[in-house]
Amino acid sequence: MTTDNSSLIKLESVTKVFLTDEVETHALSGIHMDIRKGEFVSIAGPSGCGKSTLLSILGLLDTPTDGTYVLNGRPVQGLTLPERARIRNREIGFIFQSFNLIGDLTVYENVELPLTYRGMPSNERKQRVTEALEKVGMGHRAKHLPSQLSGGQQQRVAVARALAGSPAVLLADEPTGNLDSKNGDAVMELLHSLHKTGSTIVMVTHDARFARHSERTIHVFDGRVVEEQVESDPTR
Amino acid sequence: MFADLKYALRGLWKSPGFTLIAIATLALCIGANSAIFSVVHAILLKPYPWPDSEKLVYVYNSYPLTGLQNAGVSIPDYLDRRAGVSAFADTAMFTNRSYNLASDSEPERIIGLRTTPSLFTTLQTDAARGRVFTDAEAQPGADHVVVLSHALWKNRFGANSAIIGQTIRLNTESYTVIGVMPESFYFPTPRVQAWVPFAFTPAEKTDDERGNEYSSSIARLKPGAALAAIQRDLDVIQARNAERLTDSREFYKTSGFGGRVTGFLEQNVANVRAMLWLVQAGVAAALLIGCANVASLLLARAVARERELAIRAALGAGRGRLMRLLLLESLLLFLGGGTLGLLVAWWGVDTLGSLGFSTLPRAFGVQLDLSVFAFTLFCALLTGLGFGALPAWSASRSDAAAALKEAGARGSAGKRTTFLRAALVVGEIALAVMLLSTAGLLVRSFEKLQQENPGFTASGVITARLSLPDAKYDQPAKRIAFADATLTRLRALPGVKAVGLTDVLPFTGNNSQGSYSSPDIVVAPGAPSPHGQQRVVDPGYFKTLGLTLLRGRLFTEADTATTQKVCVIDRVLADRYWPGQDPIGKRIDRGSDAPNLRIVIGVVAPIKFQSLEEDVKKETLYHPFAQNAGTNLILVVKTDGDPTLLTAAVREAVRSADPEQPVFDIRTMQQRMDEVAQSRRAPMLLLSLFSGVALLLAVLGVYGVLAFSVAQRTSEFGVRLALGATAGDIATLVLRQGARLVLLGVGAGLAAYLALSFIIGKLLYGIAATDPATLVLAPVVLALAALLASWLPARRATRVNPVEALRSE
Repeated sequence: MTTDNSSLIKLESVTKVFLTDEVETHALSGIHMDIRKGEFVSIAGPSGCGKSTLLSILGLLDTPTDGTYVLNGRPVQGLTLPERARIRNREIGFIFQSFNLIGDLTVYENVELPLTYRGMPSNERKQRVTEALEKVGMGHRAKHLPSQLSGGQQQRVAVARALAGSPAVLLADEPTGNLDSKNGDAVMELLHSLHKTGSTIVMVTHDARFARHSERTIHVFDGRVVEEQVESDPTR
Repeated sequence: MFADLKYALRGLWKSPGFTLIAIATLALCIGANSAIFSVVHAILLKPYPWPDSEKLVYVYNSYPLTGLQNAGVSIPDYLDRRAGVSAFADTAMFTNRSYNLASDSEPERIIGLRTTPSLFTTLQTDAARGRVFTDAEAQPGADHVVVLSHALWKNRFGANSAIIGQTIRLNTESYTVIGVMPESFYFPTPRVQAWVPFAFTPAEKTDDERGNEYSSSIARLKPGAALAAIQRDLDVIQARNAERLTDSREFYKTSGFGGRVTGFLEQNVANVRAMLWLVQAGVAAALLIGCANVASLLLARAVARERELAIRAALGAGRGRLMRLLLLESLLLFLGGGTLGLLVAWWGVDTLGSLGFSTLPRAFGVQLDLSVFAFTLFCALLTGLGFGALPAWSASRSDAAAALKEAGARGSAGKRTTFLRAALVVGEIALAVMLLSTAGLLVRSFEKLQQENPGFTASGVITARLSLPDAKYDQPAKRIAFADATLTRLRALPGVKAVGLTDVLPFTGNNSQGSYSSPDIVVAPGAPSPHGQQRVVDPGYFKTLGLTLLRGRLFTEADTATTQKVCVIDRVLADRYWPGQDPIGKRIDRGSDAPNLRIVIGVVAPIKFQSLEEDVKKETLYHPFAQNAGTNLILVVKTDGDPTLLTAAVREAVRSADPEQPVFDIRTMQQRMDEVAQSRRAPMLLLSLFSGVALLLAVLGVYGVLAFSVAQRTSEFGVRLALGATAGDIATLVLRQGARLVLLGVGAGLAAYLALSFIIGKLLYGIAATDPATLVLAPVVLALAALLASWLPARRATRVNPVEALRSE
């Protein structure tokens, strides 16, 4: 684990209010958060507490209603849509609960997709995709379609896709939520090993068993950070 | 770009049903537009195959105060203008003439043109082989030279390279072939196969020749020439002549006589221009409806792909990149539709020909050429970008974060998508209402027209044309003898009820008009001089065509060249000059009859000569063939059976009278009338067809939107049913949604139609563009069809299982 002290993600007084018809829903209220490079942080909380909204804001898929968000030293809350897309592509890797692989694309093409958006030359793309798939143990399935894989294998491909672009942070939204315990453990093992090689990981989970893999767990309830818990010895 | 192209292709390949339906819809609509454009381009837009053909104009004589805008020109008129209009770079004069081309087998009749040598310099075209004729060859006695068309040279003379200098027989006279024109050349139509010099005799150049307006004239304008300046020159010439020709001065004044120029292309297509643009607009509307349907499908597809697009967005694809992907898909669809559309167009061009478009002026040039390919590509790209941009824009704006959540994974349409699809359907219905209303009015207009009585009976009548050679039939007696022999043989045929002949047959596009006078006519001061349609007919003509005798008698065999000159007039003339009087016995002077003026012996009901919509205002005078025998004859034969069965017998009768005399243009009277009606029938049929297609597409659009909406609202219906709603309540909910779309569309369509009805009104006959019955019927038909289409999704909505619906929620 190689954690340095420089801040990668810094949220200050972030709020998110949804307006539906005339109803105002406060999904996040005054969130402060500081995640350092190389950290493995879990965001935990019950269903509907706002943790997925928080992850969407961290992943620049959504914008805060108020507050500031500094990613890798750069305020990002006021960026234009193309700038946000560019940062998502280069600095953020997503791992979703439901894998979110594109069914029409092969495993290889799914992993390659963010690199094509980056305009990377094909030789380099090929090298990166191959490395990423090897890293998650899916190199032999490169030509398969997602539908031909098990849930655990699909999630490993999703991890490879998130890794391929060498992002600054991996954002994992309930990465084990759709997996059985054996595959869930395998994915957590994979994230753990990535973290050991220096990856910064932010994981949303409601499962305390998986949260213990992280170094720090931020508990969210009703849109607020109610507790931060530092694991002295993250377990597997 | 390549990666997106690959993804787009694969995406379409993975949805074969969607792809096929979209491409088939677009192929049909784009293909129809390309086919019609091939007609519009060939007839209205394509320049003639002569350099700078847009600088060519017709030069007419005009008698505006008598209602005759465009008349032919006489030789002195032509010479005056050739010398006196400074803006003319060159001018030419020509007249049609058919020739019997002698041969070992049956004589062949070809259409030729007697023309001044200046035709070729005016058209700026030279011969491909040999040469065109010179001024020296346009002199009486030196004019027996001929220039052949490439087609005649190839088909009749086997492309004989030694043809130049050889002699051929035209109308029993020898002509030396001096040139063959290029393959691409024609003038004025490809039917003309030979050009011979128009040699003016000294007498023909004198003022006495004025009024013999059987020729046409064209001119090439100098660069920058203004029509107003030309008109000034023409007026100056006319004023000078009026000053000089005192005998004609009054006539010039009362008829408003003068010269007039109109664009060559503009004049040739004037009768079909508006209708062709209307048809193009009609199929363009059908294309828009088809595109709206495809755009609606793309919107639905984008909803289903919302999650995939959200993933792409999460992986760093910006909005522009997503739009590019979706636009590429659309473009592939539209280009696919365009490519297949060319096949549809290829088939469509043939079909248009059989629908009657081939009879339109310049239709000989209709083909799928580069312009049509370019138009098709343009259509595909424009509609692809236009209608692809909407779903692409909408999809690229979707909420990626929401879509990535589990609940969003099923793909639910947002308000924007729902609104856009509804708006597209409303637009489709509006366009369909416009098309249906227009087609309905054209159909009713055509029906009204077909109910018009032309004043004669066409059924059972077959007609055939003859052109007697001047050299062989140089005396009226010879012409009369030939006609008698032919008519006698025809009369003896079994089943023949009547036979006759004329020089101008109704519904052939030909006409013969001329001035006349009478000591029994008093022309009011300032009123135009008498000027009417002149016909030469034999005694049998009236019976054969069933004209109605109103007073007096018709011609008989007793009216001969040596008896009192007589004529029959129509009621228009009688009412104009002798209202309340008995016209029988009144005298008519055709110009050179004095002192033996023609006596009016009968009055017939007026008949329509040009078309069924003609409002007969011009009087007609009939003169007996025996007293006015010419060389252009049209035989008319009435039978009580199928007239087409007489075709061979007519040929044989003529051959019996003169084995060297060809017969041509053998057609029934009904065929001639149908051909004239084609300029209305063909667009009507086509617009009716496409309004049907538009109706179907619009109804499918309504169905698509409602079916999609029902699928989206399954959970809602489950909740409603759980709360006690009946199946009827649910069905009403869906039907009301459909009815709202239909009402909006019908309202918008009717409003747009009414705003444009002034254009359509100009193309209708006997019915107003705002005819209430049609404007009610068309929307009602569409509304009923659309509500029927709404019923299917409504019924599906009533079958929602609330337990399953709520579980899926």
